[in-house]
Amino acid sequence: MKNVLIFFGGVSCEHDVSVITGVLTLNALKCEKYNPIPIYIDENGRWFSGDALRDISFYKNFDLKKVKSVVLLPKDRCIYEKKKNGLKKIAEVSVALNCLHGLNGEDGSLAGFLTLCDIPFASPHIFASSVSMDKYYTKLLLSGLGVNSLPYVRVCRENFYKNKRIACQFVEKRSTYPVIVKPANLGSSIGIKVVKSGEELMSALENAFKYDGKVIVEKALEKFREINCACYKSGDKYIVSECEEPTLNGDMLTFDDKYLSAGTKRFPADLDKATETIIKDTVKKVYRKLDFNGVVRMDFLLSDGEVYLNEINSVPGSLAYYLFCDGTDKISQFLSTIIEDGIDEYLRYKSNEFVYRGGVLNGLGKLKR
Amino acid sequence: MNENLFILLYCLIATLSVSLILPLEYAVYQQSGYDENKLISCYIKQKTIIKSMLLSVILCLFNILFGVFGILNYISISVIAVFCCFYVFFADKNVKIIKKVVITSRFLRLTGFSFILTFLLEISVCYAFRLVFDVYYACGIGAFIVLAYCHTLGVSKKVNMPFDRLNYVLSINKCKKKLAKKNDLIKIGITGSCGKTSVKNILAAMLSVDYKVYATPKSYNTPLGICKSVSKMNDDTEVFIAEMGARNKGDIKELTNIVKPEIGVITGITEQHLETFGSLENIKDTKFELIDGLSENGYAVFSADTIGSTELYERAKVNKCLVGINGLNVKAENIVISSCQTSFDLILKDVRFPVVTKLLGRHSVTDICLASAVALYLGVKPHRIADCVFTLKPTEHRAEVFVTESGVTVIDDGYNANILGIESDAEILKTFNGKKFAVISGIVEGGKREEELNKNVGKILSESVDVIIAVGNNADAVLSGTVDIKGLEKHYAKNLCEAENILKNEIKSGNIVIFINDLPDSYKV
Repeated sequence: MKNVLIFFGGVSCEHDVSVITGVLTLNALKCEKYNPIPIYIDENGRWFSGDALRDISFYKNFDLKKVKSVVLLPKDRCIYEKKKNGLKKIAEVSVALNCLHGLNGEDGSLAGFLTLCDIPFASPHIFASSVSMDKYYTKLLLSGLGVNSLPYVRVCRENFYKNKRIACQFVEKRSTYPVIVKPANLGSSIGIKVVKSGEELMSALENAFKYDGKVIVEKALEKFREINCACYKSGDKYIVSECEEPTLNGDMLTFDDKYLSAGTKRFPADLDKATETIIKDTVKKVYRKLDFNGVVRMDFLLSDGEVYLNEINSVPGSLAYYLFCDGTDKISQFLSTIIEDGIDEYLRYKSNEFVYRGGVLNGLGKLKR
Repeated sequence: MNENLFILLYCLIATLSVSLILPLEYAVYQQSGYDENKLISCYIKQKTIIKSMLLSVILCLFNILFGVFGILNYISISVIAVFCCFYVFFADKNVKIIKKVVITSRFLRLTGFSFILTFLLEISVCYAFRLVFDVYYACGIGAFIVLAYCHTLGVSKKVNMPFDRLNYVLSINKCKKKLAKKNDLIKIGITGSCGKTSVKNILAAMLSVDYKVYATPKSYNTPLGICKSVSKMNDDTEVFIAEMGARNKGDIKELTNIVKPEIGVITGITEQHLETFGSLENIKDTKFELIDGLSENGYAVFSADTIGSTELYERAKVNKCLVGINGLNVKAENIVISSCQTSFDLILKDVRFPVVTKLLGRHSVTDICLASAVALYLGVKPHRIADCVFTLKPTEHRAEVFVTESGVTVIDDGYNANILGIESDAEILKTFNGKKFAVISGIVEGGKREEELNKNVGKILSESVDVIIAVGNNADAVLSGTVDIKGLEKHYAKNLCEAENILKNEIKSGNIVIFINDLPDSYKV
């Protein structure tokens, strides 16, 4: 039986959403093959584990007495309980799964931490995670790959505060109203504003700079459809989901099991064959070129027959299982594929040579003498 | 100063200093399984006996000197103490130990007992002579008791015997109980003449992806070693891998009785430890004890790459498979050996996986096949086994390659005390470019055939190296076996230090050195 660490919560705006994803995954994964261990990160960044965390109602009145404070150590692959007089080993970890949305988790920080801990993980790695967290870098990469995305202007905080008027002129010169102003690093709708005329631009930028030092001003589409599509990997096969069209801006709703039957989205989305092919091929291409692992959901915008890749979610809500499984009983099979693939990926990574014994330090000793 | 206190302190200092100048003897004593004959032969051959004689003579002279001047106070005892400190320090300095003593409770018990014994003996001798002589002369004569220290170690073993026996029975029972308590634990036994530790490490790496694996650490392969490792095993362990070593008939039976494995792996069988086994037939019988000891629905994996293990495969009646380069069920093809990696096609369940590994040599391919067969049996997916092969790292002192700061490539195959390993080393060496040196101490415990085996070693090596430095007792046999090839240099070195000196004078950047059989201390003498 493999002990699987499930990370959720997190110091981010999407803490609550992540709790729902995490608890769902915890309960879906419990089977003969896997023993999911919750690691809940609270809004202060403390790590907790314990059986109480498997129940979603527990988080309404969180009780510190019912959970254990836990830590991981570098290059160790074990999880420890923090006690007054030291550490007590809880379990050996086989693999980890990231359900942290947003900053301080989805942005590659957890991937980096797990790499140093030598724990295999079934989620995207450092580079792919951090790039897809940042809207500016995502755009740079997409243009490098020849993938269509909306035209944009990047403004950084120092330049903006040096001379706000010049900064606004700079933006206006390069884009046409209406535009959307977004902080580069936040995933949710916080700090985002649609600007229709020059008067609102400055305040929108000021607001966005509260959240990040880098802001993207993007062309706002007036009539558009939103299409989501996800992908995961199994060995050398890439499995791309059908396209989904959320009819409400219902990112939150997708976490609700009822959502599956409520029909507030169109799944599969009503698309012509050509557009569907473009979307699916793009998803597969981006996934492959960025060396993604685990489930990744990409959000597209359709307007005037053009397909724009708007956003990459390296840790999608509910791990986007609803795009692949038509029943909750099939989730565990789906998660199992992802987890086993994560372990295979770890083995491939480990086969790299990391250390070269060149004797540089020995040489230094000699020079000194 | 009180006379009694003087005698007491004096005897303590003398006993302590003699017990400290024997680090090499302790190492040999422990590595030979606390064999007092090996200890004493090392004591004499390594000339430590002269060191202790010197010590006692000087102590005696000191005392006579003090007697003449009539000084009996703290100063004289301090002078002796300071002298002893220096003596121990300088006597110790030039001793090179390859495998140091591991401080175990048994070791402490044995040395502690003999320490007390020597101490008491010395005090009683001092007092006995005190009846007739002055205190200085009595102590001077007492100094010679330190010479008996090594012999008291032998006595100490006999006295400790009942305790050791009891301890042995108790720990084995405890170990059996712990293993029996976990009825879903998968137990794997590995034995054979060569590659046990490597197969164990490879297998642990392959299984740890899907199971919680615990393997006996290092080369803990004796009953007590296995018991000790079992006591450290976690409760949630799913697979236990035991390496089983043997020097005598019945050894493996004893180990299988403790572990009760359901999967047995027989690595290659060669003429190793022939001295204690007597014949190759006995070696085969002993290794087969593992197969006899398997549980009813057991599974046995045999190496196809030695004649001995293939014969055992034929003999086995359980569910079995024959694997290796010439294997049936799991096999390797298209083997390409180079100086930095080995690549081959691993064939698992008729699917071909091209793999590359950092483990060098043909014997590594066999080891990987053996481990793969077990992993396959335990349900690890074939593609994952193949992925795992890429990640394997060489075990310490087993064909480990590194480049030193001066640009010399060193191949450390220190624990490779058998003819198969040496053949494989020779093949690795052929893939290197540059002047090649081999430092070799030959095969030990070869019994009657030792000379023949070592001649063969010389022959194999002379075809693939440029300089042979033969070390120790078997050097003559190795050198006489060499074939005269143009440009082949032969050297004889008494010990490893001398071999190192020869190397230092001749070696240049870009050259290659291979160390074969950098053996435990007991064979250096």
